[in-house]
Formats: sequence, C-alpha cells, structure tokens
Amino acid sequence: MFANILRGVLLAFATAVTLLLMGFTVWQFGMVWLATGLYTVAAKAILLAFALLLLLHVGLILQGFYQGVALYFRREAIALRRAAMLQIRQHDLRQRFLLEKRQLHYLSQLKRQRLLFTDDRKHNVELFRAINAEFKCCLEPMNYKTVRKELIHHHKQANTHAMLALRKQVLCQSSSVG
Amino acid sequence: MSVVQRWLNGTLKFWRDQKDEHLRWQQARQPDSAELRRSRVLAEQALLTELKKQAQVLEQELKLNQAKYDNELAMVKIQCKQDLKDYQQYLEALDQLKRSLRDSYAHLPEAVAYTIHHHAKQLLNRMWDAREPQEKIKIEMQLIQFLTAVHEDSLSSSLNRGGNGMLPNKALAFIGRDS
Repeated sequence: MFANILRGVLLAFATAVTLLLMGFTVWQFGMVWLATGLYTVAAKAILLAFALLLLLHVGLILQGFYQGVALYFRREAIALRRAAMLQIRQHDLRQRFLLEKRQLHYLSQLKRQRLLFTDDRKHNVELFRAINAEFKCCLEPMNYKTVRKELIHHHKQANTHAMLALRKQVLCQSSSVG
Repeated sequence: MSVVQRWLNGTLKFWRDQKDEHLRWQQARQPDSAELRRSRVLAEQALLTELKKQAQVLEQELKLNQAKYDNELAMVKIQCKQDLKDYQQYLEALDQLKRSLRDSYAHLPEAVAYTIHHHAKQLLNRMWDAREPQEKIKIEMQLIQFLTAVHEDSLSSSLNRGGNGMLPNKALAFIGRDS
C-alpha cells in the first residue's frame, strides 16, 4: 500500500515536471493561454504530490506505532518481561534482606551502646561521690573547693581517668603534707 | 506517434517481464519461504516455552527465598535480642561483682573497686566487639580468669575476717599484667 502511495507521489511529481516543461515550451511558441493552463495543472499536481507525501508519512508513523504496540503485547515479549521482572524482584529481595539484617544489627548495637552509656554514667556518679567524700575528709575547706571544682569538671566530661589521676595526686600531696 | 507507442509498449513489456520474473522467483522460493516461516514459528514457541519455564522456576525460587529470608531475619532478631539480654546480664553480674568486693573489703577505696569493675567491663566490651571467633574466645578466657581472680580475692578476704586493711591483690595484679 505504501509502495503504491510512493509511486503516486513520484508520478505526481513527474507529471508536474512534465507539465511545467510543456508549459515552458508552449510559452516559447507564444501560446500563453495554454502555458497558463498547464502551469495551473502542474501546481495542482505538485500540491497533490505533497498531500500524498504527507499521507505517506502519517501512514508510516501509524504503522510504526502499531508495530510497536503489537511487539510490546507479543506473547514472547510478555514472557520475557515477566522473567526479567522476577529476576529483578529476586535481586531486590536479596538487597532488602541484607539491608534489614544490617539494620537489625545496627539497632542492637545502638541499644547496647545505650546500656553501656547508662551503666558508665551510673558508675561515674558513684566514683565521683566516693572521691568527693574522700576529698572532703582529707582536705582543708579552701583546698577542697578548688579540687572539687576540678573534679566536677572531669566528672562533667565523663573523664574517669582524670578523676582517678586527680585523686591519686591529691591524696599523695595530702599524705606528704600530713 | 508510433515511436512513442513503441517506446510505451517496450516499457510495459519490460515491466511485465520484471513482474513475471519476480513471480517465478517467489514460486521457486516458496518451499524455502514456508520452511523459514515454520521454523520461525517453532523457534518462537520454543522460546515462549523456555521463558515460561524460567519464569516458573524464578517464581518458585522467589517464594523459597522469601521464606528463607523471613526465617533468617526472625533468627537474627531473636539472636540480637538474646545478645542484648546477655550483655545486660553481664553488666548486672559486674555490678554484683563490685558490690561483693565492697562487702568483702570493708575499707576498699571506691577508686580501686571502680578500676576493677572498669577493667572487667573493658574486657567484656572487647569480647563483644571481637569479630574473629578465636579472638573472642581468647578475651572471654581472660575475662573468666579475671573474674575468678576477683572471686578468689573476695573468698580469701571473707576467710580473713572481713579483710580489713587488705586489697584484692590478685585482681590488681591481673590488671597490672594486662596494662
């Protein structure tokens, strides 16, 4: 069908060119009225050729669309898409599993860290109280205030090593003075 | 006029000859063409069957994997919960250890009790964070030895009437050796 339309287009163009040449020839022989008529018909032939060309293009586009749709809904294409979809789902399932597993471990780790933090804080407070009580017994009020400030500072920073070092230092000093 | 007629006839003849030739060629190739069409249909059918089979296998695998992953996740969840519970119990046990030290050594400074407790907790955390099973076991053994040393200290202190003026020397020696 498209071949016929294409033939029609070529025929219309050939006719138009022939008519134009004939019109030019008859115009050379002085038959202006005939030349005018031929030129008019040639113009119509060119118009027809372009209309047929447009029709051909529209037809080709529609055919391409139809072929695409038909190809998309072919049984093999549907089965191929289904197999690919299942493969992708399998991959997604694996990825999701790994992520969920990692998330569970992460949450567990987080809870453990919280437990540890609470426990550390509890013992930190106990240590602070004990060292503070020791300082209160051993030091003079003026010295005690200064050392207590330092102790509170270390306690706020949760630096137990510094608290123990301070205790050692202060007790050594007080014993050497005593 | 006759020249044009002859030219037209020649053209028409050429066109018809070409069509005849084309028809003859098609006729000659008819069996091959039919064979090709049939083999194409057969190949398409085979492909379709293969794809359907593959889809079935994949669907089954998907279901199996889904069940497997669900089970595994449930196991991991239980394991994480148990690990957390174990860790909490360990922390409580270490607290108990600290209390028992305080009870056994009436004049034990808090700093010493804290140091012992802190060391035990460090060992526990190292054990928990160890990735290699062998390393884990090694640190676990260290922790057990340390706890045993603390327990022995507490026991000997209890035998020595409240342990006044004494320190848990074994535990402290252990810490000194480790550090």
